[in-house]
Amino acid sequence: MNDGENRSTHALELDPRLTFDNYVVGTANRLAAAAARRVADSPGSAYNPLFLYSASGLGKTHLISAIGNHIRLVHRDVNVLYDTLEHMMEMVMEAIQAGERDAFRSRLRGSQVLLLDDVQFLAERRGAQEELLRAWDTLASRGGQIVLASDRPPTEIDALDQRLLSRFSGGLIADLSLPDYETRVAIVRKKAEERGQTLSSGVAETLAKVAFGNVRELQGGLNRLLAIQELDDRAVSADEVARLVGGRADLPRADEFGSFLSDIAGTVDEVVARVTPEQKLGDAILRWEGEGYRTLKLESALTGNPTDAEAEQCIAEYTATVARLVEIGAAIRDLDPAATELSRLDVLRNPDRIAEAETILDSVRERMRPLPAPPLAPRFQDLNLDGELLAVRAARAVAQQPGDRYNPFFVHGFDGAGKTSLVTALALLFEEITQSRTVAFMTGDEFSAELIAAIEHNQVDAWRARYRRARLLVIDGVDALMNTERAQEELFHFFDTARRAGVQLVFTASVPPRDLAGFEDRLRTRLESGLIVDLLPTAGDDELSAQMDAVVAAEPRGPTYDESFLNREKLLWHWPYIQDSLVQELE
Amino acid sequence: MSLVNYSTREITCKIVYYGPGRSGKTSNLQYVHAFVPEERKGPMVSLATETDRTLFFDFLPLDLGTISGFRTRMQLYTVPGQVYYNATRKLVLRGADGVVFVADSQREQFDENIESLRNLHENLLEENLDLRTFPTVIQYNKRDLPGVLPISDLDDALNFRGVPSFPAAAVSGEGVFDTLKAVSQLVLQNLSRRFGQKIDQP
Repeated sequence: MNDGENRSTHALELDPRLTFDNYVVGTANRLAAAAARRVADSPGSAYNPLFLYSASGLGKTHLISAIGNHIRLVHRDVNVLYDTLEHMMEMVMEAIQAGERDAFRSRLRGSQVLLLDDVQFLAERRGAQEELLRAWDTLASRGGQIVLASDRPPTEIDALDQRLLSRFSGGLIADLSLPDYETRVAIVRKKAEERGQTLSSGVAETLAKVAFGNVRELQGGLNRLLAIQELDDRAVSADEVARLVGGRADLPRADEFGSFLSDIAGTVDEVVARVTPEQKLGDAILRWEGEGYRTLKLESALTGNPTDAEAEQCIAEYTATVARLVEIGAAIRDLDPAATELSRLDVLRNPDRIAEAETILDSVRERMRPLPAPPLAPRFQDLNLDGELLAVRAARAVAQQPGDRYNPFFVHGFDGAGKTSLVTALALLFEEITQSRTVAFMTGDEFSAELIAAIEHNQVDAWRARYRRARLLVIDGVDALMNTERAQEELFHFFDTARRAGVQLVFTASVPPRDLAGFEDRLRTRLESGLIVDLLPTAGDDELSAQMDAVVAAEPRGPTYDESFLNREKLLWHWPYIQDSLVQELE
Repeated sequence: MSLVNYSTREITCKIVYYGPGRSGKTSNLQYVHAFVPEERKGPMVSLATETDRTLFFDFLPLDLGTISGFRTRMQLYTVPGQVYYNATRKLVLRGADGVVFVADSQREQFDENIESLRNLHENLLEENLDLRTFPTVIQYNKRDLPGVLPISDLDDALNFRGVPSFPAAAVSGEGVFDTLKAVSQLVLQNLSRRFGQKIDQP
């Protein structure tokens, strides 16, 4: 905490003194130590993540540091990131404040091993959990190894995100408990040896019998004895131990339960060590069957004479797949709590069909994707069109009374006549009135393109279902569907369903439906069945017409303008000496 | 009842303290309860009469924490000792993984011990349990009282199968954890036998 700025910009340093060599292994920590060793030997390939937990002072940090130090020694090309959760979150916060979030992420991306201590502080902290999930994804996507240490098991971390819980449980969870008496003696001897001191006969044994709450306190007691030996230059005797370490030895029965526990631990250790791969698989089958999952994968592993490692790996993979299935189910429920897909238990409870489950999730995602929204402007009051035009009045009426009176509503006119603006105003007014986002607004080209993409990804059903959520469908430039087959057919089917459901349909095109070339009759007649309005200029704009006449009069041999196409946006000139027309944008 | 679940990594076992009325079964549990750290134990449930005799049973759940990766739990029960509560005794005994027979070492309780042991055997047989292999230990309690029978006499009368036995004074705690340790180890070793693999006896 003293190094100010540097503190937050770098991960913590590993203490090089904490290695496997000076870590004493006993019954209480055998599993954790063996797993740590294996992770350090081949990071990313076994026990990923490794979750270590114990009360404080029992060697978590030593073990997690030993993993880091070993990897740095043996695998020099592997980048190890060691940190505590608190410190890492500070780094994230400061990176965000400094606008260097990417720098933080890229450092994470540069690491292959993440050693994270004190993850119990994730409790009740959503932000930190999200950040860890992100870091996790970054690492896991490249097969990185994750090791976590905590003072409690994952299930006891309050308000822990389900996704994190299932990830924590996907590897190996190992705890370290209070070492038994023999291990305590070994620890005392080893520590004394490290300090280059010799203990008199019986001192280590007496000290190990003292009721210390954890190994750190035991080391504290030893330090006191060693200090007295050094400073007084004499050997401490066994009789003095109780007095020198503060009379703790006067409470011989205080740890009766602890000693019971140590002894029982030895027996459990033996029981567990004798579980065969077949029993492990059999047990897993019973468990997952009990929870309603299909277990074919485990069953076939069972018949193949698996080795212990194969059985473990098979169970780990299976468990991870089940966890993913659970995630998929939750994701579907989040997207659409009423999704009928949730009842597809034949898929959602069958790890062999995980690919199908992913497809189902994709299709629900597609179905629930937000509808293409209309442009943000213009609204009716901003339209460059005469408010009294039939088309404009009809458009307002459609927005106010969608679905029944003018359905479909078909607007036609030349390019630039203001069709898009008009139907945009219609859609925006509809949204304002209904206070909903149930407008699907797209061009004819977009309609075709989306359909092609849906066919390509085998998502046509989801694509249809998505548009069934719309209460107002606008296809701007329906002429683009000219000569298409599937798009017209889809539109045709959609037409009938939508009209029955009271969905308002709005189309624009350059020509009225009867002149739409390359359209099937069944679709054309349906497009004609509602209200068709044009955005051709009316004879009403006398002022503009007079101005144009004046232009022509000044140039007798010049072009003529098309009186049937006259509005305040554009002007269509006919040139007598070229076979073409010219559209002029008016200011 | 007992369970070694490899995939959830849990071991659960049920141990029942059996014996004649007032032999000290509840005292055993109370002593254990007093020495177990708070976070390791649930509340001890005792259903007792007004005169502090166990009417139904005592129940003490113990969480031994995670050992070798397995969350290990023990459930300690006592049965009511009085003769007329046999239905309750049968109920408590159902699904037990091991039994501690708590005998009263006092001379005048000699017959009650024998009667209770006979009752235990009957009830175990009804549960189709093999008495020769069912994990059992005997505790000779109240060794601190004057006028108790010598251990050898008690052994002759009660321990004809030669199961592990322990002298105890449950109120002061003597022998309580030794007994619990012994029965726990028998139960755990029995679990491993049921896995089809025999643990070599030391």
